[in-house]
Amino acid sequence: MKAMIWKELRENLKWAVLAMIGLGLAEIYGLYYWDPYNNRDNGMFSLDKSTFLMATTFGCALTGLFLGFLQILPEQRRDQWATLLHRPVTRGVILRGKVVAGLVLYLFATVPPFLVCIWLVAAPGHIAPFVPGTMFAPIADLSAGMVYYFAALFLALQRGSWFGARVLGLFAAVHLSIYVTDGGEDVEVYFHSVIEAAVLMGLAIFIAAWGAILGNGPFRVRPWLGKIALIVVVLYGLFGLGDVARMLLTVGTFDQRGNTGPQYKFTKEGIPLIVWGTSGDIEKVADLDGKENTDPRYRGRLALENILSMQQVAHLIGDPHGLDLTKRFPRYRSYYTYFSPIEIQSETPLPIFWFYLPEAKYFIGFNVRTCKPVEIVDRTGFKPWGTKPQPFQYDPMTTFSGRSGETYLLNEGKTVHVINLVKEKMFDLASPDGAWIFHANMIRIPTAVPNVVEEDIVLVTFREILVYDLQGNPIATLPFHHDVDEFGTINFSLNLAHDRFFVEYGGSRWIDWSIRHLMTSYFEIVDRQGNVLNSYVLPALPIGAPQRNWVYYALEAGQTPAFWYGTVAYQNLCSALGIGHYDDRGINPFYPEWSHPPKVGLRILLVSLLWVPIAILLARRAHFSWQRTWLWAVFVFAFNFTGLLAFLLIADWPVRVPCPQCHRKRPIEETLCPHCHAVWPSPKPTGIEILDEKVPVAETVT
Amino acid sequence: MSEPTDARPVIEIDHLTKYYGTREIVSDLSLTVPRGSIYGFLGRNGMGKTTTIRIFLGLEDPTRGSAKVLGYDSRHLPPEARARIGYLPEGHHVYGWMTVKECGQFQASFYPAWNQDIFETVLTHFRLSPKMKAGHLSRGQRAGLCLALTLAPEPELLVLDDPALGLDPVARRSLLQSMLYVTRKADRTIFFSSHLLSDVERVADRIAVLDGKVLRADCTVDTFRKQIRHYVLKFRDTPPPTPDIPGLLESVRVDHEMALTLVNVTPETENHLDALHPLSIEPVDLTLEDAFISYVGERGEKTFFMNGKETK
Repeated sequence: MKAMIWKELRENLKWAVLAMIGLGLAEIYGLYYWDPYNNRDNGMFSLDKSTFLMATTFGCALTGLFLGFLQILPEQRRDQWATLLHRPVTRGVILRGKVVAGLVLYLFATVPPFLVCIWLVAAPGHIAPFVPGTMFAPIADLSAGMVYYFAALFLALQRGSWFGARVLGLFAAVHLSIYVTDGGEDVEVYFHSVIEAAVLMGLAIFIAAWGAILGNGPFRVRPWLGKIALIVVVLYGLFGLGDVARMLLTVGTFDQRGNTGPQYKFTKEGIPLIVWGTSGDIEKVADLDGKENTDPRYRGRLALENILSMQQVAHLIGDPHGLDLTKRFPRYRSYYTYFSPIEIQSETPLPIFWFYLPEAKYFIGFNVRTCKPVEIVDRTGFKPWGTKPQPFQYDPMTTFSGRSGETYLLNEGKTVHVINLVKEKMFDLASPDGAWIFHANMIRIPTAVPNVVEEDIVLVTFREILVYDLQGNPIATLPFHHDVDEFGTINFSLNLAHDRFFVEYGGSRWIDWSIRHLMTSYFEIVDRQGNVLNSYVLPALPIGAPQRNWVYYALEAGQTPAFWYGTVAYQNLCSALGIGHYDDRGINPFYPEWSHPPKVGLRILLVSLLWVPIAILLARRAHFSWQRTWLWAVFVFAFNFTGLLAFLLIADWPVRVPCPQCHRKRPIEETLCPHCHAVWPSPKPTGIEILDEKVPVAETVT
Repeated sequence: MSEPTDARPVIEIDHLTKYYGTREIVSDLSLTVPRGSIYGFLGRNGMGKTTTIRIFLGLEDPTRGSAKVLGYDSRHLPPEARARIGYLPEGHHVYGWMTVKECGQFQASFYPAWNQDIFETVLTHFRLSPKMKAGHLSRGQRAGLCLALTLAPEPELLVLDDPALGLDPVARRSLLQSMLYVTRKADRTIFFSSHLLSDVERVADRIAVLDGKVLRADCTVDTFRKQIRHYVLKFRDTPPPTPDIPGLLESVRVDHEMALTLVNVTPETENHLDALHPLSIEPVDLTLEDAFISYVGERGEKTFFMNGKETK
């Protein structure tokens, strides 16, 4: 194997150098690129910058593919490949030799540019802190690139059409990439799970490639492990293809408008109305008693200006049960997970650019001229750079809830730190009687001057809402008039004169959607002393579930029974063990069918059963034995339509030619005709045969 | 699997059939190659020679039938068996970026029985320097290097697929001489395909001829040559149409002559010739090349008459 590794290294080193230069240039370009349309990234010099990650995602994948193909395709010319395979080692050893060298070359091509970029980012002279966690995303891309390397080996070694099982190796890698790049915004992807997925997928594709080189093509002659790996690769390849197809199909064919039923909205004076309409259009307006409101202000174009949603009227100020909407999953590919740049709107350039470090739990300020850190803010206040920081106490992802303009709030439970990063001042607001502050936020009130807002601070305890001005002077103390344990989803706002406060109480988030969407809400207008001036009862409105079309139902019923029931079983098990619960979709009235797993499951089973006779018919037509036929039928049943496609792509479909005896088509590999049981006839003698007796030339035994 | 004994044939092909798609390439081929023989494998292009070789070397699977080499099933040839088989495919492939010496070192690392003396001897025969870049070698030199790489492990069975393809006569001669070197030990076997009948005639003990995907001849070179006979029949006038004679390969009628090439001639065949009443019947000796061309060439009658007497 050593000779094989040496040969591969020597042969492909130049290509690895070329890939290294290409990838390095792309990564450095991505690091320094200034995108005029992406304000979020600009000025950031981080390994999680989107343009840099674009370079690593595509660059590593292309490098892997490039090196993988170059190791196989040029050598696959018939005689050259025969020379290679005829060497007295197993084909497994040949592949292992190639893979060891290939991975060394891949790392040689990808790691040095990455190290250079780390050095560029970590070296002083940039207005951004270097946090080691930002290396996770490019490392994940680097790992995914290896999967593309194996995919290239698989593509090159797998026999058959490029448009069949072969190309699915590439789509399996694409499927992994979608996961690695956190393709679904609502999917919680951890770094370790990405690495595990890359290792498993890489291993599966490698074993499938090994199975391909071991056999001369047919599925049946592969080792068991190779067969399983090929099935895994083809299934995941089909899922990857399905991801792309689903994206194309759902655009324009799904009704994604969500709730199509009536909703509560509000006048500028804070009077609730029932409004029908979707996609920004208001079709009909009614008062709370159900009578149609004919006020011309609420018709046509004027309605759009004079009717406001709750979000426009008031700010959600949280839920006392810790289900804070501001809490977001820490995406491992986002630099906000590692450091949050504090963007402060100012007419004059500010001398210090601030970042919040969520893991270290303190602020760090960079001098914009010298590009060096100069100050920090910890729980004791502003300090010069170099002083040992005393981190804020609580998880900043949940407590770093209030920020607006130059003022930031950090909630530590019974004390809220109010930090003004421009004036470099910090003071604390404590709850009056030691009550737990479950939410702290900034309220912005629009003024008559466009783009100018007035800001107040709002603290929420289990008993009351406390309103302060920016200097920390109390404005109002507003006791709750409803049980916030039950009605804990609270929206709040106030008017510019600070004499009218708007409070809406909705069902708490801990209550199941199935119950919560039937609960009554309350809307109150109160004065500075907490007296209720107006109170409205908002009964639950009917839910208008989105209209579904055939594409939706086809996709739903097309799920594999194996995976679907596996998920249900997994969730049941987790639920029983108390370590998880059903996915939100299971209790969401927008997906009523998901509230009834047996109904969806039955639909999936029925559709899956539909393919079984087709699979049996095809298998028997191709003269598969009954044992093979039933094995494939079970496979097709377990994986639904995807299974049928995989069956068509993987199974050894015999070539059939007319039987010389009965003229019906028979498989060329079978000795007996399945119809007339005739053997293949020997070629007819033509009378010109010259055949003589053979005499052994050498009888000697050495 | 038990260790094969040396009394067994080196290659045993049993009812081998190969299809590419629905096209049959090799049909029901059965062939045994005895140990110590030099076997020429002949046939026109596309008759399945290379495919047959690739199948018994385990590089492709047969559609039906089986093949054994050195007693091992071709589908499961272990590395130990491969080490005993030298294979030179027709492309004469070498890694162009390696030097001649590096090619040898690379190949030697796979073969425990590597004979450096043989390697260097063959290189010298082809006037190859170890420092030469393989990619800069001429076609003949490359063939020489490949042969050196194939012979140095001292294989029991040497399989050559059209080794002289594209070589000049000098390189061909060198190749043959080197190839024959391997048979200095009596139990070494050579199985080679070629289109160069003079080379086959020079070295082969036996030949197998594929014609129309079917094995038509499997015999010694002498037998093949003897079994194919050529007669020139002279007539006073225009020769009569060629009769339906068993074993007729080819007939050419020109003016007052009729030339017939026949296989497996019997006394009955001669009676057929006498029945044509020619002025004379003259047997003509054929070279192997002439015999082969007649054997695998177009069958039937060809005519060529001057003065517009008869044309076809």
